[in-house]
Amino acid sequence: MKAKSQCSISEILTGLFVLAVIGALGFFTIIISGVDWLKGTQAIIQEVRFENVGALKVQDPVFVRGMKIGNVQRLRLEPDGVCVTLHLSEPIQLKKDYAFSIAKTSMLGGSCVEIRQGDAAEPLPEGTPLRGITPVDTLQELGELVSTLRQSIDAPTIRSTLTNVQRASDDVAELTGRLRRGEGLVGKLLSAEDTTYADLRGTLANLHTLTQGLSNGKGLLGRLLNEQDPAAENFSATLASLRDLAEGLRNGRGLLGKLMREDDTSYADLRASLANIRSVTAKLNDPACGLGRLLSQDSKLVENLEVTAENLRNVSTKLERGEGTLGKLVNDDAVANEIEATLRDVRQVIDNLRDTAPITTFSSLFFNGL
Amino acid sequence: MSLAFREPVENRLGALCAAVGQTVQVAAAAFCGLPGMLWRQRSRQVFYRQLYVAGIGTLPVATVVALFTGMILSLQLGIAFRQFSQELMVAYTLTFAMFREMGPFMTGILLASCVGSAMAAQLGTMTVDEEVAALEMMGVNPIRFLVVPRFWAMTCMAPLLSFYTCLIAFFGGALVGYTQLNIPFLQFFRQLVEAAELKDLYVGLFKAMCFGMLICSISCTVGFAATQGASGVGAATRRAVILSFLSILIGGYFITRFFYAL
Repeated sequence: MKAKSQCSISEILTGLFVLAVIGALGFFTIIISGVDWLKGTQAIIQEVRFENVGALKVQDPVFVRGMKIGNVQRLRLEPDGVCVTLHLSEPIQLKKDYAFSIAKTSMLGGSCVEIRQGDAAEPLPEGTPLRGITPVDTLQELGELVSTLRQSIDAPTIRSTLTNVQRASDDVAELTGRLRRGEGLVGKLLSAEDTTYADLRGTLANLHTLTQGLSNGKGLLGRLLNEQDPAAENFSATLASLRDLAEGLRNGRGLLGKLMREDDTSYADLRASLANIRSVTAKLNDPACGLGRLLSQDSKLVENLEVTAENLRNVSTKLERGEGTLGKLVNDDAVANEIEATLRDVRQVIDNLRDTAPITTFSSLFFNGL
Repeated sequence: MSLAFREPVENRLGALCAAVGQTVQVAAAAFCGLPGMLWRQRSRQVFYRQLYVAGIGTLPVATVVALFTGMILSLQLGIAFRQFSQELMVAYTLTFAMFREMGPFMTGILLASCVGSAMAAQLGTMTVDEEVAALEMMGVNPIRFLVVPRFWAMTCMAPLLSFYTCLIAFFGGALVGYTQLNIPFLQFFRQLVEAAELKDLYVGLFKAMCFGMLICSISCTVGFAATQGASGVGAATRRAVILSFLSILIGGYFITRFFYAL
């Protein structure tokens, strides 16, 4: 009896264990398969067609506004895409601008179906075939972006930029080091020693005094700055004259104006004249030419000219005093009259001879022929 | 069917082939002996007794092992996932690990060390004491009388124990998740259920069932082959445990490879 009792206890324990585990297994199976036995009749099957489902797989969750309302029950390959059967625990009201999309659940992987019900006023008619949005492969797009950037960015340019930045950084470091050591004007101003600061302050005081004097009309600059001073008026008038002069030059008045005009005819003429002058002066400097010989210091032509001039001066002196025939001829009218009368007689004689010349010639021919 | 476990074999390769062949013969005979076992009351009683030994007898050890395995896994995974602020992934990973591999594997190890070794020792002692020979002399088939109830008891209990270890491991993991990783129990189990798949669950149970068959067949075969008194029984026990472990690992890989091709 005792053995029979022990056997019964062991059998009871074994039976309890087996039944409990089988019950738990059945419960777990029900939970995992997604069947809600309490609300089993409310399960809704929805079919959505995607062109591409990415990494979506069976049992992946379905979300609406961030809440899980079901999971993927089946994936079926079709000629124009993939038909995804969704097992939803609640009915959802879709509008005309609805959207079914496949999203990543985390950066490490995993996919889910996200349903956007839409904001349009009109609801989606019953029986409308649902189309899903093709999922975006973020990693692939990222890879393409990196590839594009790698192709578009020139490596030597980046290296050069980095080198420039490095140099600029070194320069800034050197500059701050010099400032810290108190080198240069700014460094001295920033240093604890205040000599430079005192100098600068004195300089600024002097500048202040100077500008104050200028504002009071002291000195030429001050007077010029004072509108009531006559020097300022004179200076203004001078400036006006200079302005007129500049205006005239700009308008091409006068030689300088003509020379400054864009039309370079005057400049060309002047240049040609200068060339001629240079040619003449070159000839003058040439001892082979007459004027050159004349201008040369060792030339005897000057001496001859001086002697000739002296002789001419003597001749003219004598002529002026009436010495000699030419002098009398020049100074005495009677001599001139006599010479004029003589010339008149001579012309008379010549005329007579011209008249008798044919007869004389014939006679001579005749008599000479005999 | 006659037993020929003590027949000498010429070389090691031949001995290995003979051992494999004898094990397959024992397994096939035990598999086919199910109707006879259910028909005979004596065999049914032995079957019930073996269910108790394999199931209830292993339960305390299985509970402790599964609980702390789940806690260790959860802790280690939590430390790793906390670096990425992904503590909830502990439940996902624990589900995959337990359902697919750790549950059946732990169950197989426990059954091999607790039940398989006892089977090898018991049958080895009976063989050494020539009780098996006496059964044969009385016209009782030792495989039908000794092996078939043990075989089917292990086959039935291994999947249940595997699922039980998974549940206990989940509880241990949730405990660590709640105390160490600040994951509420409900959220942990919700994530766990979301991660679980029926295929993983039933492939794991099938794997545990295969392990139970392997352990029982090997242990019984090695026990029948025991010789040379008590030392021979000890050697047979050791050999049964080692061969069971090896068969669990090798068989586990091929079952996984069959159901989860890359």
